[in-house]
Amino acid sequence: MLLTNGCSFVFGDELPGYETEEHWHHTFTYKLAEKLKIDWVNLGTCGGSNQKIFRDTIHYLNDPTKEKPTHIVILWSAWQREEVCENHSDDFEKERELKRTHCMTQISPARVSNLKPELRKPLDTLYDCYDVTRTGIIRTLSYMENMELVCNALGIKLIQGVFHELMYRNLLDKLHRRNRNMDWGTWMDWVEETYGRLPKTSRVGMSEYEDLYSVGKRHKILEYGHPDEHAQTEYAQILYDIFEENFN
Amino acid sequence: MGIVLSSGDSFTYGDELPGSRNPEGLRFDTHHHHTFTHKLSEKLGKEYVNIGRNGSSNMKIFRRTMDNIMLHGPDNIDLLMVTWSNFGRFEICEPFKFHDDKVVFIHSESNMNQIIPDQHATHMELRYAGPIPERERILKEYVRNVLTHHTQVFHALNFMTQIQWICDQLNIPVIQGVIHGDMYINYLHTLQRNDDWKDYKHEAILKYRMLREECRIGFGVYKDIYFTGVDNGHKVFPMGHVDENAHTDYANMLYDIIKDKELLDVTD
Repeated sequence: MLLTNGCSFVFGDELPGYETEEHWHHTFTYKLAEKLKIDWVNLGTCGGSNQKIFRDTIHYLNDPTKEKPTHIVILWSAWQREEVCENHSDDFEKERELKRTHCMTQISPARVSNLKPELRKPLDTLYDCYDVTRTGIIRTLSYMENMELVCNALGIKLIQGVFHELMYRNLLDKLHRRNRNMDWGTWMDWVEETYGRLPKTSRVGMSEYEDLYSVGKRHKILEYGHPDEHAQTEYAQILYDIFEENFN
Repeated sequence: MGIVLSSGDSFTYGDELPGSRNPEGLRFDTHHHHTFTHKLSEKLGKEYVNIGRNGSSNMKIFRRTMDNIMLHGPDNIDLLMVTWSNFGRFEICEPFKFHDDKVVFIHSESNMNQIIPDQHATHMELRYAGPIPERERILKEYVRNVLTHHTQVFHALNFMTQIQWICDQLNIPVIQGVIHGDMYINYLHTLQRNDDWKDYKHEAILKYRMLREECRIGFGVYKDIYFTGVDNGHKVFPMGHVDENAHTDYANMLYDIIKDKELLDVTD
């Protein structure tokens, strides 16, 4: 069985039928599973932070009632995203067309509008105060290494990477040597070491292979920035080739 | 033979024990034989690595625990012991560290500064956040208005269930606990308030129930290290850490748990 997780790119946002969740056959998850001749489970959610992606993946694997995957693909989301636990009325999610689980609102510096008004200002101000991207990079690389460890132990074939080319650019920018002279040295040491330990199958879209957004640029990027179904088809083939090249 | 890997905050490090807080730095500290990690490892007849550090948030504890499992290799770890810190702590990445952190021996790593609010039953409060007034104001406002026990308890419960499950997959015997029994009260508080927070409560209770007894020491079952000291009439130091006698009693209790739960082949 193929298990995939990530943000809206994995969910298949904007693909035909996505509003009623009748779009699954357009997603790379479906197409890849078809090539591998196995079943699939898609845990991707719109706006999902990497905290949520890691938590949901481990929770799924930890659930004895669920079928265990033979293959996993994770496309990690924007470094800056995180989550805050908030209580809202039952209608809130319907009104905002927002899916939340466990009262956790998924946020980022660009997406504080989903929060209660009284939370927005202090959070906005906080985002100006520290380096949100670097905090997210260290957290996400740690998750990626943990997934490597777990999948190796369980004999699961794992491909992981980033959903968008900007993430690798962010990473390279933060690792630029000029930053050493700006007191980011110990952060850079940790990130370089951890990133360096990841195999190429865990660096998809980050110096190895292509990210889904870049593939989408060869086809069509839809109104809200998501790749179309042709990009999903090509990406499924890329992932299939990675599995064939590295795990067989 | 493998090691005992012990992870946590200052309670695990053994802060305020005689020989800790050497002005020359961590590696000059001579207090290690007073810690519960040393005492338990001695009883088990095993070498140990103590990666507990002062001021650690639970995110930092989780990251360093996983880093060290990979560093030493799962096959070389005979027992993992994680003692989680207060829920309120969190970390942010900044291009500086404060002299004040050095004064209270807070360990600095990877540019991740640890923010340490006071923890009350229903809320958290940041009294001090370093010498930059504007930064302190922003962090105080964030803690007052945004940071809730719900967010922090939720993440901590996930760290605990994740560590338990990962260790099961790697065949590493594991025990986990919290530093202070009041953390269980904090958790219970998040479950109150009528019909609010329904989804949160469902998931928090589910995650809590997933934890085996030996993975929630001081968190509704057994005694935490702080109350092990206080209830047994031992001394609490000025910064709130317990003395060597508490560490001894705590190590004895952990030893009994390991024996009862048959986590290791223990013979008296």
